[in-house]
Amino acid sequence: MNGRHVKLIASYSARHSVRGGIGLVFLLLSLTFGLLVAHIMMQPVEMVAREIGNRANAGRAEDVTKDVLAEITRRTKPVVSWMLSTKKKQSLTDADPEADRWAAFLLDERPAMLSAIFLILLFGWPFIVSFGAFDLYAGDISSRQLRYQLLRVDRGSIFFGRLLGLLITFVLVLVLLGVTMTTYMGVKLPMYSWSSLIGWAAYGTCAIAIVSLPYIALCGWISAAVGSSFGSLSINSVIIGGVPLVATLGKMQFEQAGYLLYALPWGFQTRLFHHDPTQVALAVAGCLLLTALFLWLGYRKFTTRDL
Amino acid sequence: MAEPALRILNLSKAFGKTKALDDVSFEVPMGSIFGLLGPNGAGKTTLFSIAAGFLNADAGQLRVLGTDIAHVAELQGRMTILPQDASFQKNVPIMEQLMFFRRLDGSDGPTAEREVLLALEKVGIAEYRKRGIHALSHGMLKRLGIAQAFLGNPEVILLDEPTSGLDPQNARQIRDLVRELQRQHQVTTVISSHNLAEIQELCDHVAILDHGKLRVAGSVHEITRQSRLLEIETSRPLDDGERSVLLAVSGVRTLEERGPRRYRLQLSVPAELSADDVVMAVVRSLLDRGIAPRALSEGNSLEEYFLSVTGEAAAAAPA
Repeated sequence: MNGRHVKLIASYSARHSVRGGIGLVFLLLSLTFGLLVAHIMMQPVEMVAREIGNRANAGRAEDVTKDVLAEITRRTKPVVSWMLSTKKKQSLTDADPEADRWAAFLLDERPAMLSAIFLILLFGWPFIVSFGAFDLYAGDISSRQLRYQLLRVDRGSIFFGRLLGLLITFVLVLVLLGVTMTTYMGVKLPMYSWSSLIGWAAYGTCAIAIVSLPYIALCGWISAAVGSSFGSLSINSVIIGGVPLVATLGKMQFEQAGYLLYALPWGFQTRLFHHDPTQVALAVAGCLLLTALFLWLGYRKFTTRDL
Repeated sequence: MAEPALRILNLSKAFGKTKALDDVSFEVPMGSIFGLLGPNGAGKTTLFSIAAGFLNADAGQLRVLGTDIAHVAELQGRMTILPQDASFQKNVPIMEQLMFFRRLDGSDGPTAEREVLLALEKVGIAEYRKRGIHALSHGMLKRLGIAQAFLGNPEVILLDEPTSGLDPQNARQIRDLVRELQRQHQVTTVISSHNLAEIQELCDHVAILDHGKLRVAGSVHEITRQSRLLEIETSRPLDDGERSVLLAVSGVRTLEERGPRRYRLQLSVPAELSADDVVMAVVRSLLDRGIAPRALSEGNSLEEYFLSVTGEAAAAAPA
């Protein structure tokens, strides 16, 4: 593998990624999804605040919004706690101190609205990744475009160069999304300080970038193995969506089926937003471990298959 | 003995039950223009693909410039290829694509730009350099592929059907480019083609593949020695006696009437004679009988040989 080649291929791939139809679809899809989630989360707060603000004797608009947000946060905290809990809770009122502490961290100690957006983004993002990465190699293998490069660079450089180019594109899109959401939230919800918003948005963007890694590597492996764009997209989507589905359904019959979630980051990805740094470190390690595994499988396939 | 540019040893490759290459062995001499012939499905493109590292062989060995093709990365910049069925990127200007390839070869930006422009000018599509491939016709795309194969200073160039789809003028231009490269830089060029006349004109060595098997490999001179053709137009038709006399000339194998005064002679040049000796003996024999040769030309003897080893049915298959 040659560092110069990897760099050249990465910058070329990143530069031209959005020019193709698939790149453009990915950009629009990720921005639409991100901003839609932000809009869905913020709209009720804005509406209720506006409603109260129009009444006589209402306080300052900023105070009204703050009160509304605090009330929404108080009411949704048990739901968030229930969602984050790993224990078998029967109802929202069953106690899980660990999950309650985690929910309090996300909703009280950090900008609650941003936390909620990130948690929802985390569930949809793997599917967005699938749309962005399914054609990492497959299309060019089937059209044999790679053949013009194969005598100029080693296959490893092509494999990692394209992967790096895609990562650059992903990070740029995520940063764009994060900046847009933070700016909008900073303007609309002035009770959050800019520093807390920017700090938490930067952390969340990094967390989503880290959770993207194993999914990108998985898509890369499948893309290199299948060699057909449609086949790659189908298989990626089935695996990414199928793992949590099968695990959830299977868990109803066998408790152990729930462990299937750990075949992908589904089982631990929310812990990237945990209050305990050890949990965060374990989640990061899990993501990196799966990334390394999928990269190794993809690299092995790409460097040995007929192209 | 000098290391050949390509050494192919017992190479085999199968796609499912179809044997694309079956125990093929031959060598491509350094600095030669080598023709790879064969009907459709003979295994030419598979051989090129293995030589370029696109496909892995099932068995056998292929060495290029002394390097085993398993380590194809070591040949970077020393070998280029015009693949038969590869496509360029649709959404990137052709200049940018070729510059990217050249930069991968090791050139810096300005040098790459200069070299790419020169290559595009050589194949006559420089004016399209800022356009995407959608602006190019089939022939232009072929020339673009050739331009990328000529980039840099390769020691070996593999051209898979470089002139198919080109008009005669452009085909001639490509042949001239190949000759120029060989003359000036001793570049070894391996060309596959269905155009046997082109191969005979351009190549000094050939190999003929048929159904994945090697039928023959060697110099064009040696291969066509046993099946040279001579086309003759005479001042008057030949009678039976005169035909018998011509057939009695040492080296003349058959005589076939092609028109009222046109004849094709198949020559089998004996080891002690040259082809020219036989041609002079034929002409002398005609002149001795008061017959003036009006036109004399060498036929496409490679084609004759090709048909004899691959069978006419295969050769008649559409290109």
